[in-house]
Amino acid sequence: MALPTINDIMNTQQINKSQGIVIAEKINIFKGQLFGHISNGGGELNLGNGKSIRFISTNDKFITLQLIEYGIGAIIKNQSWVKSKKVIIKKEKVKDDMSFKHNKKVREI
Amino acid sequence: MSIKDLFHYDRIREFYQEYYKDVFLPNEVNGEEMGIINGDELTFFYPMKKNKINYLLPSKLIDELPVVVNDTTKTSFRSKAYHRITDVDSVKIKSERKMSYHDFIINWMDYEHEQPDLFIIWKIITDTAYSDRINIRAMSFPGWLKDSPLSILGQLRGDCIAINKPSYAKLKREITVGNKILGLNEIQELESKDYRALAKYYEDTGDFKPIFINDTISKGETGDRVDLYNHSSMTFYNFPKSDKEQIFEDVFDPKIMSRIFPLLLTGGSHDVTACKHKWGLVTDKLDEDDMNKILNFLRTHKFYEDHDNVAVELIGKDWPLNHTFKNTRWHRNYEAICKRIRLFARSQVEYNKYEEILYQAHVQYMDYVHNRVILTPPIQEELMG
Repeated sequence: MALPTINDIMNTQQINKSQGIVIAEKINIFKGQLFGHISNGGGELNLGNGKSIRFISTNDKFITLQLIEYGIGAIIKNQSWVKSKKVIIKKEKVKDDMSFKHNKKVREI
Repeated sequence: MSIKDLFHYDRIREFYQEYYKDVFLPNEVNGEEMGIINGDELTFFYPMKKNKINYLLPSKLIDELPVVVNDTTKTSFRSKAYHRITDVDSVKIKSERKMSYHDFIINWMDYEHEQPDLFIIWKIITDTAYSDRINIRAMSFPGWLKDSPLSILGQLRGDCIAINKPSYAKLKREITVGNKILGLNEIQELESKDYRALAKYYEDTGDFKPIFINDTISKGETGDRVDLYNHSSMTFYNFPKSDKEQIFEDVFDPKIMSRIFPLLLTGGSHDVTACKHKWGLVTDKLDEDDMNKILNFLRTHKFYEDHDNVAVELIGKDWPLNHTFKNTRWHRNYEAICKRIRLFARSQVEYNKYEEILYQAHVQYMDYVHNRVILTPPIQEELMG
């Protein structure tokens, strides 16, 4: 089954109503695909592409998220959709490269 | 521009922003260490703020400051935008003797003051706190310039800071990031948990311990450990304006009082400041010559931070201490300051004069306390045990 893309999420009110309700935990976007769990307890997740998703609210059927583009500080869109098994399909976790370079040769200023 | 005018806070700030525009310094860390979830693991950072931009410094670099930042990448955490630091070079200030230690101390904020010699001693004490390890507390009337030499040094070196009403979180952060001097203002009327942490800090740093262990935090938590290597404390408070205002003696246990060397800085009153210099609004910019004058001052400070350089200049100045203390902690503070007075003095007569001024500042403090009724009994016995 193909994973929903970010466009699917932002443009679709409801993803497959017939699917069951899932309490999800985390979300990640990789190459345009949502393949993580969605936070059910508040908080925000960095999508790694200048955007992040913030959890807004949830009820038995719907979960509402905001897509935020930082830098301009704008909330692009609020969207709700059915919590669906589709959005929690995830077997792998993607990590940002958090490494850093440190030139230890001390330079005088 | 004269060197005196260059020590205006706004001008030193302008120098700081230009000279350190790519350099990240300990006093730019502005928050607690935080963990960011990345995939299935946590990565740790310290938040920093420089020129209105928020940065994330990898925690492994916290002991490497100052660093020049070559590259960053944008990220967000809890709705806040950050520039994550990804490429740094280690740097240090060039050490150069551009003037004698005597001229250095004289030139540093050479302002008209009601107590010019005592102000010279106070500048020497502030410098001793940076280069050596001491624990000092000083009381004066407002406007004496107690914390100004420290503020200027903080802007020039980027690794000393004065904080007001020190909560435990503030205290821990400013020591952890490597500030060499922690200036403490408004230590009265703290919340009890902050008071207990501050008391434990005074106990450990006053004992010249290598680490500060805060074992006063909530039950069930383990004690926090913070490195106190080469760390000095300077505590400032004003003469009480009314019977209700407290001083150090009203707040802390005698065992803490006996660890932090007290001084009374005479001059001025609650209505008239001891410092007579008048500052105006800065409207002009520093030119190249001004920048170089401050840079010479900064590099000279770096030169005299080096104990080997000091040892060379002290050859032939083996003048003995004229006073000693039975309290070994006080004596250690006094001896460290006197070493720098020796460095400053051009003759033994001059040395004796300034040592006496230092000693009298201490004696006057003790006289003040002995003649004063402590209105609020120490409350900490039950807290400290």
